[in-house]
This record gives sequence, structure tokens and C-alpha cells, in this order.
Amino acid sequence: MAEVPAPLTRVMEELGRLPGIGPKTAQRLSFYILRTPRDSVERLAAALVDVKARIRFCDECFFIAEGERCAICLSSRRDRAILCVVEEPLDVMAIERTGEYNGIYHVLHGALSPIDGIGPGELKIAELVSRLRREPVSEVILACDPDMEGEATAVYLAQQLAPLGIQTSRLAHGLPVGGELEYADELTLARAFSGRRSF
Amino acid sequence: MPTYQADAIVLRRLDYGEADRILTLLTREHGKLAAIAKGARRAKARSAGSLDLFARSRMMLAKGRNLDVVAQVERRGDVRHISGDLQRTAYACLVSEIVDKVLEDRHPVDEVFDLVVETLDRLNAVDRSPRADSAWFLMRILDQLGYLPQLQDCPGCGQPLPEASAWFSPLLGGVLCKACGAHDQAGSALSVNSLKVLRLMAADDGEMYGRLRITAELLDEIEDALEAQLEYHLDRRLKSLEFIRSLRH
Repeated sequence: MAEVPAPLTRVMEELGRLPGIGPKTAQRLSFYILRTPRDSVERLAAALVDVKARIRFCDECFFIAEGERCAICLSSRRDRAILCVVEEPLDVMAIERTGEYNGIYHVLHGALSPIDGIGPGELKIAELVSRLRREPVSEVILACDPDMEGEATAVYLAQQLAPLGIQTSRLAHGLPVGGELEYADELTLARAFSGRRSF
Repeated sequence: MPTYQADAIVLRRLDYGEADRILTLLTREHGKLAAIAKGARRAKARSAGSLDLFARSRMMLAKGRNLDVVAQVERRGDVRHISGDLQRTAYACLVSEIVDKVLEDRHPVDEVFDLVVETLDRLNAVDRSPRADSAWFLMRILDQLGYLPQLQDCPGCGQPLPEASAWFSPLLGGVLCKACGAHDQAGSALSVNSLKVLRLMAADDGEMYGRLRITAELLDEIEDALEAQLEYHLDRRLKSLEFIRSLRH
């Protein structure tokens, strides 16, 4: 078999480290890069270096930031009395796209997962508790994923926050907009029934 | 693509690609296997609730080149009381981690499948003690693996053990008599009542075990012994156990 030149192997290896990219995809991407004009590859390389150099996590809420604080924490238009706890920075982006929420956030960077050895110490929970002691927050919304790990995390957080006497709520479970009732799974439908509300 | 059906329990999940998940499934018919659930992470995915951890369902799987693909799911078991209860979730994780570690791929063992179904059903019952049910699972899985602790005769000298407080040694795989247990060996102390309960569990007397009122102190000793025995034979630390221990303190 013809030997692959070292620079190409290096690109394949580096791309292959990315999540969801296997050896075949890494090969395809590498050859795409090889065929792409030089200036476009340089833009990509510069963007990668730039993001690493300029983006960090906010000291306050652990969302992505360009400085010590993120744009949401720095904004004077946000309601600082409501704090929404999410698992990942991408969840903040999803909630922001709704345009419904104007409070502040706290990103845990994961969920409790006994099977993966992720306990409270691996998440930004202690930081959340000390933040709530400092800041005048009156409601905490727990927006963890509605799965086994997310539920466990929400329950653990509710226990930790109880002594602080802050109102704590959990995002509703129910039917997706635009979906059809007959295709809903039993658990979602059951939750939608128990969480129904009056008109 | 040829398809096949299986009773399956989700042991582990791993996010993959845009919205897919790779599942480790325990199936009755085909043993432990990995399968991909396409689009399972989307909020509108119909099957998402049935593919959560510990969920049991009747599945149709399609043979794939590398991984089989989850084609249809019909939910069977109920784990809604495990979800949202940290202690029950942690013990269910322990069951799932142990089964994932001890079973070979595609080697069905009916007894293990039934044991997992039974244990998850018990962990889901709000009136039961998850600690006692998990301890029962540990003893039964040790039995399945052929590592049942020696509780009648001392594994050190072979003498019959009196009904008295004793020392449990995972290294020797059982309860030591006073003379053999006098050395500073790795292990844990067992009261006479713990020894009696362990013997009952080893004899597979589930009915009597279910009727016992086991105190937290006894459960501590029983769990210490069974967990040490299992970790010794698996030759690895179980991540869920470390999580559970952190909850206990």
C-alpha cells in the first residue's frame, strides 16, 4: 500500500479525535481540505486558533465568554431575579432562540451520571450554591434534560437549594408542538396528562 | 436489511453524531449488544422515552454493517419511580454497570436477564428499600458468576464456621474463622446477624429475605462484604459504587 505523507496522516489523526468522526470521515474531510483553496483553509485554521485564544467560560455562569464575564451576565437588561440552570452551553443557546426568557443562567457542564463516575464534584454545583448565596435570585428554573441523568441532577439540585429558601421550578414535560397525539410515547403522554393546566 | 425482535433493557447510552445515540442493550434473546438509535436525541423523537436508561421494551432491530439499528420500540417495563430518585437511579446504574462489565457480547444468559428485570422492577417500587434490593442483586450476580462467597466453612483452614461475629475476606472469598481472621487482612467485620442474612441470601431464599427488617448497620456490613467480593473478582473499581458511597457519607 502506498504510504500516506506525514502531514496528511496528521490531519486525519487530528480530525479523527473530534466527537462523532470516525477514521473514514476523517479521511474524507482530510481529502476535502486538500482540494480546498489555500485561503479558505487558512480562514478555518485561523478561526480555530482564534476561538481557542479568545473564548473562555464566564467566571460567573460558565457560559461561553470573550472576557471574564459573558454577554448575558454583563447585560443590564437581564432580570437577575430569575436564574435558569442548564447542563450545557448549547442549552443556553437553545433557550435564547425562544426569546421567551430574560433571566440569567448557570451552566453545570454536564449531568450527574453514576455510571460514568460523574458526581456533584465534577459539575459546577458548589459554584451555583455560592452564587445563589451572594446574588438576589428569587427563582431558580431547573432546565436539565428530561432523561434519567437530568432528572437525578434536578432532584439533587432541588435538595441542595432547599435550605436557601429560593423558589425552585422544573421545566414542564409534555407534547412537542406540531406533533400528533397518537404518535406520542406513553411516558410523555402520561407526563402531559399529569402536568395539564387549565385554560 | 434483515430484522429481528428482542426484549431489551437499555444499559448505557452514548451520544453519537448530530442526534443519534449508541445504546448498550441487554436482550433476552441475543445477550448484550450495541445498537444505534437514529435521531433519538431530538425532542420530537417518539422513541426517546422508551430508550432512556433502564427502559425495557420489545424492540425490532435491523442488522447493520457495524451496528444494528433500532427500528421500532414498544415500551414494556416501568421505571418512572427510579427516574427522579437519586438513590434509586444510582443503584440502577450499579446494576447496569455490573451487567455491562460481566457479560460477553451476544451471549444470552436467561437468568441474568430475569434478574435484571426483577431488580429494576423492585427498584421502581416506592415501598421497597433500594439498598436491600441492590444487595440481593449483588449476591445473585455473584452466584451467576460462580463467585458466591464461602459462608459455611472458613476458606482459610476449612473448619466449619460457628454462628458468631467474623471477618470477611474478599481475597480468600468468604468468611474467616476467628483464628484465620486474626491477621491484619483486607476485608471487613461481620456481625453474627449479618452472617445469618448473607447465608440466607446465598441460599436464594428470596421470600424470607423479603420479610426481614434489615437495619442500616446490618446493610452496611452486608454491602461492604458483597461489594468487596465483586470488585475483587472483577478486578476493577465500579464507578457507580463510588458515587453511591459518596451519597452515603
